[in-house]
Amino acid sequence: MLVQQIINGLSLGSVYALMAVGFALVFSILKFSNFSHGSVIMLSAYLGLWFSNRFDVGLFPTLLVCMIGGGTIAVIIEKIGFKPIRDKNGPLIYLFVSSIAISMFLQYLMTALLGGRFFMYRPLLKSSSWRFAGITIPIVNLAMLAASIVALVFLLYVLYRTTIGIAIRAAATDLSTPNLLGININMLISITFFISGALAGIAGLFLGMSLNVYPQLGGLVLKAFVATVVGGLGSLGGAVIAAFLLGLLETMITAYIGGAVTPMVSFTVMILFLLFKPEGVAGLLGLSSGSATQKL
Amino acid sequence: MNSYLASILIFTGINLISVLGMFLLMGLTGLLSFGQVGFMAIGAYVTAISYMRFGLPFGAGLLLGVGVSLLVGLVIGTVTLKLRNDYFALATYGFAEVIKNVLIYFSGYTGGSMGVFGIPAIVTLPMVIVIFLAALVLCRNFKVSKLGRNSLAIRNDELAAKVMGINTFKQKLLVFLFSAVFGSVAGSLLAFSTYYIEPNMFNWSKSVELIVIVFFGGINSLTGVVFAGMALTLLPEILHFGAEWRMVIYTAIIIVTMIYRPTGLFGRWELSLSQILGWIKGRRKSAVGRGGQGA
Repeated sequence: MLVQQIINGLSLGSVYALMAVGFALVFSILKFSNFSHGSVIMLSAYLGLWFSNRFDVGLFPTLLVCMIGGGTIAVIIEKIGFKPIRDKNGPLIYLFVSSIAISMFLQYLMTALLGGRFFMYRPLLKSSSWRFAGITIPIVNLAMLAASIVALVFLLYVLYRTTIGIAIRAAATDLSTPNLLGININMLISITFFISGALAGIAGLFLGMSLNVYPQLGGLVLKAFVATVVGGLGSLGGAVIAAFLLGLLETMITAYIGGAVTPMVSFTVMILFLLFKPEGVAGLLGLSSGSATQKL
Repeated sequence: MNSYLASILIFTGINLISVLGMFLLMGLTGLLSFGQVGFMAIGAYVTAISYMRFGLPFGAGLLLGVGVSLLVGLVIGTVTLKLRNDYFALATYGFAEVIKNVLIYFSGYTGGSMGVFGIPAIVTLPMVIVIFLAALVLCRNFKVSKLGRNSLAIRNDELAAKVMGINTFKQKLLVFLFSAVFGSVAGSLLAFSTYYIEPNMFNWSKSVELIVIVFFGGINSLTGVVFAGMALTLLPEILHFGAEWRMVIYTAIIIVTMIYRPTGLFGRWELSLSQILGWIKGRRKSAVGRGGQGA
């Protein structure tokens, strides 16, 4: 029972990690909390649903479509909702408000178009659960865990071993200097949004498969936000660790205490971290991070 | 006046009172809060429960609601106002959600997700108008006073405001408490004009609605915010939009506003009493002038 819950918690945590990393990537460059990330997750889930039903394909083609679709949606959102504000050097709070407005717009648009009902993925995997030594684990959770880990490792490779990754990390330190050094900063921001959107696409597909698809699915981005905060602002490593911890914590509480108190506990944890350890898990472990008490 | 129109106007007035609270918080001080709806919930429930269960008169219940809101606001504000702005926004979202969950969870008093039923409609249109005007005058005086200027300084550059000797934390807490009172009063009025209250009336999307109105009207213009509040509350009622499309249009409006006119519809423009008097005088003069020519 405990082992089973730990594995379920880890796979939930892995999806949180995917969302949190995408969230933290944009934060590290543009320094605002991008809530439209949630709507990318939600729209990718709808896209994957439509694609897998329409063309009757399995998990991998759907995953690919979700990644490309999610990335594209994120870039479009950036071009429409954020770039005009960035061009005018608007205050960061405008970007933040705009991201919230976009996420609510898309959520209500989907509700108005398709209604608030739940859509179910048809089974994309051959068997539904895996039994081993008395424990039962849904296959979708294992696929989630595997895909997330592969994606995170690939992301690490891109960030630390490729030119684009170096440029992204440079831009995270300071947005104007790479521009002076001849890096096309708008292109770089688009690439960052694409990567973050592609990660959101993976998360969207798996969340859709395990929780069904509905307009409020994007609200789960708040978990990513909590993980990013607890992880330490803009620190990818911290966000991943915090996301796994959050997944474990939530699964344990839901299993042993009850689902009703889960959101309260995760918010309380976040607020406690903000108050007493604003530099987050990253600060505890000595990873680099920003500060929560900085000016926005 | 027919009762349908009166009920719409009452609803608009109540909405405007909570919008004014949001204007102080977000327009003047630059603090984005999703917790406004939490204070509305506190006001509504405290007043309704104290009336229905303990027979407290409406006015006393309203004041009790304000008191509870102030206490809660003091605690929440002290904890969250030292954070960065976007973290503050999220913490207030958490606050609103916690309030909603508390209302559902402690169903013995609050009726759980069913809410409280059979609240008498004590609130009348003149009552709402008087309270709204009082709130408006308070807001206007706040804006032009030293407090308002402190708030503006914090919104424009908190560090600079600190350097100038403003106790930014104290100022932000003060504004937060002000807005909590506005929210609480609006909530109490709402409870006693809609017959029933339930936790889902106090979703965080309600706070977003208020934020949209303030941004649409213009964060620098009290006049703009009041006009935007009237327009965005009345229009959907008149045009009979469905609830879903209303939010789609609201959010589309704010996206377009953020992109093309980030200062809001009215920018910095304010309508003042002397201006209105000036217009009336001017018109009278020209009317007299014309009359004179005719004779």
